Amino acid sequence: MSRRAPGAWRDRTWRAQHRLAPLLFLLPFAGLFITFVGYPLARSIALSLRKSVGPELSIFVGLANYRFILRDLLFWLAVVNTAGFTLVYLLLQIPLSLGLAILLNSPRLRGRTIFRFAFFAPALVGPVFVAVIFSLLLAQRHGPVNRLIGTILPWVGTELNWTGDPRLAIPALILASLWLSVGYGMIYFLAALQAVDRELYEAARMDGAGPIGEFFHVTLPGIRPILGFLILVGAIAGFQLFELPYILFQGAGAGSRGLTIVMYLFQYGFEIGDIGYASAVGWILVAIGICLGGVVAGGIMTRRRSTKPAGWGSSAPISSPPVRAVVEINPTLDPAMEGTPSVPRGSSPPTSAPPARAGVEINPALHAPCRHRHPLRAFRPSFPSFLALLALFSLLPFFWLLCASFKRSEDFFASAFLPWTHPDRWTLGNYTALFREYPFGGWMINSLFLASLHTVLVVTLSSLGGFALAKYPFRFKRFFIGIMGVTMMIPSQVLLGSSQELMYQLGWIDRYAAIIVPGAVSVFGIFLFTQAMKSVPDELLQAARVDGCSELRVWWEMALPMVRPMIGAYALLSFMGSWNSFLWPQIILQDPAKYTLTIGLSNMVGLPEYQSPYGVLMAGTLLSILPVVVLFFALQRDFIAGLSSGAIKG
Amino acid sequence: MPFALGRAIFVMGVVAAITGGAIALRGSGGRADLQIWVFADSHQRIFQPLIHKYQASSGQTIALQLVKSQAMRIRLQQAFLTHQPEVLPDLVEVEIGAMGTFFRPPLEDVGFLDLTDRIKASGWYERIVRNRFGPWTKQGRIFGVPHDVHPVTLCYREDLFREAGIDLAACDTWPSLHAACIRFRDYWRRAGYPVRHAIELPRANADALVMMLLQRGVNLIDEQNRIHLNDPIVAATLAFYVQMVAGAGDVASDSGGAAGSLTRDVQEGNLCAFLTPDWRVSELRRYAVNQDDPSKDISGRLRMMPLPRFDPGDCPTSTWGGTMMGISRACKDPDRAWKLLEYLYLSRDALRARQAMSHILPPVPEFWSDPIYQQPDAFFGGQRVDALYVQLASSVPARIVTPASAVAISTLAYVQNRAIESLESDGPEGLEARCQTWLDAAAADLERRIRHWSFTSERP
Repeated sequence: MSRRAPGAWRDRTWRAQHRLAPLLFLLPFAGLFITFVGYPLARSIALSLRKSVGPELSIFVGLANYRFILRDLLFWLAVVNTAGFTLVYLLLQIPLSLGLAILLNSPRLRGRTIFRFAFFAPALVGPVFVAVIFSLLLAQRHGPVNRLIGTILPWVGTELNWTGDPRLAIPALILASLWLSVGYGMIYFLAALQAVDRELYEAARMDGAGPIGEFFHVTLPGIRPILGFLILVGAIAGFQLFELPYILFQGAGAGSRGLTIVMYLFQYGFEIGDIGYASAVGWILVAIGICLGGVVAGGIMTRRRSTKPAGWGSSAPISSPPVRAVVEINPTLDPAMEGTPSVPRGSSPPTSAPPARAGVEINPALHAPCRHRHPLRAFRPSFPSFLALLALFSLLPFFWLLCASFKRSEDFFASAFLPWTHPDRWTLGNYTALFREYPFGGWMINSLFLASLHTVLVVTLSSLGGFALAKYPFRFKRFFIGIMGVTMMIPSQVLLGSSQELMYQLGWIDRYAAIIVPGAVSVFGIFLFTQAMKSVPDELLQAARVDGCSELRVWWEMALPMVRPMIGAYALLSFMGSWNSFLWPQIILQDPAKYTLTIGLSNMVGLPEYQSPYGVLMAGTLLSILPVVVLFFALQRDFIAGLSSGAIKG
Repeated sequence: MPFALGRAIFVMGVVAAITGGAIALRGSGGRADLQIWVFADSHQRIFQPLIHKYQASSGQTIALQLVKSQAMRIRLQQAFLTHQPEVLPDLVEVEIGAMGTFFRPPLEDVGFLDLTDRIKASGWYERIVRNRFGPWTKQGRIFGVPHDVHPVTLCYREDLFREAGIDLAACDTWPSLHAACIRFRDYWRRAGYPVRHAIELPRANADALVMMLLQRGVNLIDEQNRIHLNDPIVAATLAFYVQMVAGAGDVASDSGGAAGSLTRDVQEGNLCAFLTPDWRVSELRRYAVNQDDPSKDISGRLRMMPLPRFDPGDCPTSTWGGTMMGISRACKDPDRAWKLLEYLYLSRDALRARQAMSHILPPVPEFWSDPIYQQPDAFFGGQRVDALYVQLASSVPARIVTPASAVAISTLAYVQNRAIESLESDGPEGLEARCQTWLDAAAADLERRIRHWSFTSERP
């Protein structure tokens, strides 16, 4: 009896632990989710029925805010601007990203890593800095873009007033957005292209398909999930556009053509101080988002249904189980990463390593470099130089930024890059001024602190929650997933007013807690990790339990190493998101000593009538990009593999 | 054993710990006796030596902080609305375009201290140009001391106009100026200069149009919140203005407003005349230095003239911009703040420093007789430009600011763009009538907006 009792107790403990584990794993996330998403959501409905001056003064107005907004021509102008921008942006961004990815996926291409970085680098910059750079690149007569146009197209000249002519406002925004995001889309497409089954190309060719046929019947069906994902993400990003026009036009722009829905929300909600109005605009944005999501999702579903029975491949490349299993955990599919082990870099072999490998079906043929006939083989002789030219264009703004950071303010508009003939007028003064006259070092420390802590927290909580949702059955799981899915459709801007009020009630205005704690909740992260954790073999986890691992250790020692690429990818995305975030810190942070880089640098830009220290601003922008670039180089392998394992499954 | 979340997350954890420690150790550094926010670099440069002197004589510590305009508006608004006394300054300078939003709360909830009684008791109410209190006044209560008058002149490249055979100074009406600018444009186009524009006037914003309307005595919204956006005089001025910036009579271009790019355009002869309030002179001078190419040295080539008018009864000048200094309600010692305010804005020391560094005319007429405002200026070919500003300052029109003023101006800019498009597509026939129709609709919309956004209730 005395010998059996500890065993029974241990069994009971194990069972209880297994039963309680998912709840405990989800508890931190769920608690924060209810507090910082659920409550503000409910509260924002109540707030939208009030007229207010800040969080303290308000009166009930019923549906008056909604009635006013829906009859407000300015709001509809913002909707038209936003929709027009989104449509044109998607029509350009998707084909450009896909085209670049196809070129980069060519087996004959050398220097893929360099090209990949060249095209992806702008995505590391962030919209605030891009807006600052483009406001000067596009300057009338003196900006490099107009100088270039004047040189190449002399009949157009240098007079294009990109930020002052209403007809050019949306093109200016699109130009800046494309520079920012084409590389980002390209990386996703590249990951998806590398997962398309090569055998399908062989089969297509045997059936007489040409490069165009291969593209439409093999490539396109194979990448459809990521195509849908990028369209949806692009559409949502388009409808939430704010920082770029806000900084580029220093307001709504000429003829209010730069006014977007979120800018309208911000101007009338936060600059005027009516958070009730802001909440009402947010809920109208929700309605638009749901309609938009429905249309896009409907379109994708319709295309899936209509293409499934006919043509090449349909969704087979992704849904084929062996391939899918490989894609989920195998980073070697990236041709640039030939030779890397199939177990993620740096991970320790799990205690029961053999099951880990045995649990995944690996097709050795896929380890070989891609040798299929490329759809763009006609390009072969010239496309590396064409790519090099494109890469040069992609990197040119960085070179301009570098030059601008060495220019004196008197020379800023005098020469496109540097006064080459007067090296004596180059200066390091902008860099010294950055540290002497501005608390740039402090801003850098603040940004590093916030972005690092945010990333650690959000990865930890998301992986814990994702593990619980993927690997444990428990009551209300579907309900919880459903609620989170619904909130994913709701743009974060709807929470701005009520969240600000909550921070005020918590006494967190001008406190980092207001940025860190709510920021640890990421529904997107939970879904990503749930998907990734599903690929971890149950047998492996069971073996670990048999070996005596607690549930926490199972998560830590078994599950996490298996999803390391996803962690790397998500860490980079989270860090970039936090590093570049602007709107929420702008609302919350008051003390300049607490500013982040985005807030500090954007605040250097004053009214156009007053001078802005452009050289210092450019030096600051350049330095602020460096940490993200370093992180990208450190994580790029995990990043590609992580995207493959998470996103392309649709 | 390797860290399960990966090296990257481990490194980030370490970075977060180190930077978090640095932030914790950094501390707040303590608060000065008085904190001041200014939004312009030039103001900061002027105030800095004055503050050193004041600190030495008073023994008080004063922190001067530069907060650029957009950030200023957001920070100040958020701090006022969320009652954050610890982040609010004691004294703050506000630009005229931002002031309206601070007037949206009920009178007793405006974030600035009501200075009416202090201003009257100190005698400044009688000594300062009365209409410069207008932008900082709500329901008869004054919330700030005006910094300036900002009369506006027209500055031009005398050499280039002379070469084209045009005496611009002889143009005393806007239509005659427009005609002269067309002749100028045609002359230089024939000479092979297609991008030589006669005058800087923006198509995108309504700043210049608002100045013309002020000349004609029109504020888009007056003290009683009456809307004048659709007055016939606005339609007529708008129709005239758009014909200067578009269509067959287009003689204008834009510089983006930045001092550096404007100066560059003036040096290169791309823009040959421009509206020039007193604050623009020092910016122009600052960016015009250090040019190696003598052909781009504009020193001595510029002249200044009063603004042309539409009607003889119009003002020969207008006003562009404006700043006030107010005391925030969070200020613990308003008396001490008021003393510093008087010193920085209204003392002889301050006025001399301001004149030397910025050429901005103070709003106190008794100071205008000072000899420093009568010096010839070599940059303007020996012309006494400060004297011209002094001469025009007494004619500066009144400007009113309400919570809806900024929206009214952006509405006008919207109609202006519509008029430009209409001019370019349908020509000038019937343009004024079309402008009137659009302005009527815009005024009705503005009225609805004001009704919705006005906040008159008391605390719940």
